[in-house]
Amino acid sequence: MIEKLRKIVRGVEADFADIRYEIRRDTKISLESRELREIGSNTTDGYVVRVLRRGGFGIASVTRFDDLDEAIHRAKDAAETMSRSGAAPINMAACPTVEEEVALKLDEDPLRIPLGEKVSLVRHYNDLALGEPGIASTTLGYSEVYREKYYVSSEGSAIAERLLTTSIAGSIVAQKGSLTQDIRVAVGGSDGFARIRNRDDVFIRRARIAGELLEAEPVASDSYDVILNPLLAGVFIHEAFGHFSEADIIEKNPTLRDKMRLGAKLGSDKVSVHADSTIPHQLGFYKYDDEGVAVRPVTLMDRGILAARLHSRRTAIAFGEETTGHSVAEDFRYAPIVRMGTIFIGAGDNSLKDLLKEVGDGLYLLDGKGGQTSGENFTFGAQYGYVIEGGEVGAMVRDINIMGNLFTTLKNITAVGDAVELSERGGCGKGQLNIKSSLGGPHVVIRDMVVGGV
Amino acid sequence: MERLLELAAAVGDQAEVYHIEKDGTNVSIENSELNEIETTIQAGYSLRIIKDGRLGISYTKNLLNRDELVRSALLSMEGGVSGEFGLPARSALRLFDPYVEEVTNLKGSDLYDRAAETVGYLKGRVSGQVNVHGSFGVEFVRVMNSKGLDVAQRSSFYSIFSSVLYPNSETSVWHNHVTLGPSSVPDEELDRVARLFQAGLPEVNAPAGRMKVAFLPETMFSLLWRLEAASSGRAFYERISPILERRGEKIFSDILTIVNDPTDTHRFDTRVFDDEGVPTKRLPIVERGVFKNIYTNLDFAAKLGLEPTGNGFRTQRWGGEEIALLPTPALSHLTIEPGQSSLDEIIGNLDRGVLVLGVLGPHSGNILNGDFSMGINPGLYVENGAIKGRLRDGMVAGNIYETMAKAVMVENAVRFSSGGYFPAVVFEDVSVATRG
Repeated sequence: MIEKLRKIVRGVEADFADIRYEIRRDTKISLESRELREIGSNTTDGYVVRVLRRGGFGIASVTRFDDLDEAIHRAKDAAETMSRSGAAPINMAACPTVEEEVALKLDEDPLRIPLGEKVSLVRHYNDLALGEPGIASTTLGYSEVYREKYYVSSEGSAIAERLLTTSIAGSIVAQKGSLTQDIRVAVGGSDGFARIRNRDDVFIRRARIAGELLEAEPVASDSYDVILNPLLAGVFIHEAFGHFSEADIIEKNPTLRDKMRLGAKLGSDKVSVHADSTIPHQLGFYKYDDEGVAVRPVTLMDRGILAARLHSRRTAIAFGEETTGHSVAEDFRYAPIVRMGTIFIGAGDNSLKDLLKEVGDGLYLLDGKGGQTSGENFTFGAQYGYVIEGGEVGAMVRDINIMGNLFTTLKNITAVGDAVELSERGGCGKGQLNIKSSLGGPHVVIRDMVVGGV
Repeated sequence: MERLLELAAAVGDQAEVYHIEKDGTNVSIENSELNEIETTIQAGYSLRIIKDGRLGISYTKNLLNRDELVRSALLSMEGGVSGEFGLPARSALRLFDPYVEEVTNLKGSDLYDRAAETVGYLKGRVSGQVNVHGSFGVEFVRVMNSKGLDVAQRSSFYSIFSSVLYPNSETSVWHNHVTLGPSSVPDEELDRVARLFQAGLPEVNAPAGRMKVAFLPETMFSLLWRLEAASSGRAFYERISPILERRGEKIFSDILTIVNDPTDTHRFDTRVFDDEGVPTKRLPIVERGVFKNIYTNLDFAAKLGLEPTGNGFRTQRWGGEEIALLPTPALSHLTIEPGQSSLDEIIGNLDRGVLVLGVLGPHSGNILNGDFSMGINPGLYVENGAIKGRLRDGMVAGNIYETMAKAVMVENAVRFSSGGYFPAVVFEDVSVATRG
């Protein structure tokens, strides 16, 4: 395959060109309550070509080999249009030429496990959830995405890398009269099938929370001092801050770019933020991005000071900063864009007990439930929460949405817990879906957070 | 395709082949400068085989090995997914192509020129950053099955999405102009964007509380998602819909009529058959406040013992591609019928209220229950009929069965926005949280 791609790239008249061919195999099992809704394994494939010519840049993706010539023609045409438009010329930051084949490191290869065994495991977890009091229905699915990527650039890089992500995830719905409450559940990762075995406790615990929510009171809209648990803190840092660390988001937005200048003090001294996809045995692991750049750990915020951001080759040179290896595509249908991979708030030194005491009266909010940002404003839901009274965890509350301004909120973080936890399933949708998007952090205390109830 | 269907029909009781081809080009202009031109040419095939009440599925991008595709479907059938529905037979459906030939000859540079015109027009009228995203393309969908059905549609689209950003943010006032073929955005639409944007330049703090809230067409989808979840054949089959027993009852204000109509040829996205080949139809979901109909695909119609309504589409809220998704009940072509009031009359009528132009987090909260709790972003705060400015940190929350029962004004025009043609609608007594 690499040789075939080399030949294609050699034939493109350009200052720089690259091509990526990918084979993707999806295995999917979906259960709705006890009913099997979908099952199957399917393979798809396709090519993405990128052409840089006279400062213009064009991209084309195709599924049929026979359409490749047309794709290259259109990518060149797009580059010409851009070059003539008077837009600032595009360049690619220098990066080492690499020839490497990256193999998977798995604890039990899911591709070798029969479909029937996967169905049994999903059914087993599903039965556990349905067996808990108050549970009315479930949606639970097994997802396995195997990608075989071949990357060749006109500079001589030739990389083959395999990625495999598995998860068992879904939602559990509890019902009492006309009231329904749902909770999400997910186990998974990028390091093999063993990770999703023997996880009964997770499914039972999540189902119990859904049941308990039926008795919880809706939270009253107000402004509160809050503790976010690690996964909710992760959603906050991913959604509200992380996306601004993606250079392509702010590149063409001068006012935001000015606000996000390196060295700016944007958070309290307690806040450090890291993006590190190189940590083994976690969901976001990969070696090379979809431009053939090796991913490296990046400290984005160091004790409140903006220290670095995430780049593609195109944005790195435009910002005059180092490449980081964060230009990633969902699959063969897309050109890569800047993605954060694995992002988390760095650990501090307080136990949860310390944090509860510090807050005194407020809310303890747990687990993300949909989030969205628009510039510096963010909103996201918490799956459940508890009232904190006199430093103790009290009654459960439901229907929780928090919203605020990123920069105010980063400054309002007054304490950080001592243990980082990372999510096991991703699904960041920045135009393309990134199922390897991992996020997390320790518990964090945020003062004066707007909480909207129903 | 014919050969694939023959192979599949030979091993099953029923078989269906779905085929889609897409050829599209996107142009993005960021801060008035051309940022990217991208083309995608995609094709794919999806196969469903039903045998002894069991369903097998498979799909591929390249139809290289038909036998393997059939084998994959048979393998998936061993999982035991039930398929107790009949595929539709050939019908006297009158096919319709919402298609303009001209689109096939367009180049990225043509679209760039027209998008640049929009940038130029807006630049002179607003003091914010202007981004414009254009796209055009053609799509071909064909559904064939072993009952002799063979329906196909070719469609084209041409869209110019204009947005103006508030400083230090990605918060914007925007408009999406979508047509079948090349056309410029009407000046009055851009004037509306400019006027709303400029009115929101000053940021204001507003007192929290219950007030009138106008959802503009851009945000109406966020409320309708809740209705879509509740009126789906899926929610009725699972018996988890909050309006399970309320068919024929008044659930919303009688000034609201909500219809799903893929057959409307005034739309740019007309579809006379769904992704299962079932003829589509005009389906009122809510008529003058009364809950009228649930919607189904083949599978849920059979499970509920109903006639399918032609709402089986291979879609989901985020990601996924048609061939990899199973047809699911979907309200893909929603409209709220226009009312009596102009936008000016609506604004003039708000003694204290918010115009919601954008929402954050519409997907959070208990959607099936009808609950919503969303960031207002942006929203314009109105006092005594005059826009005071852009609301700082506001959230709007409620439950559609309370909120939509209190609709008091409906705009006299609809515009295409986020999946449907909607007017602005004013609801009273809605909870708005702010920093006060």
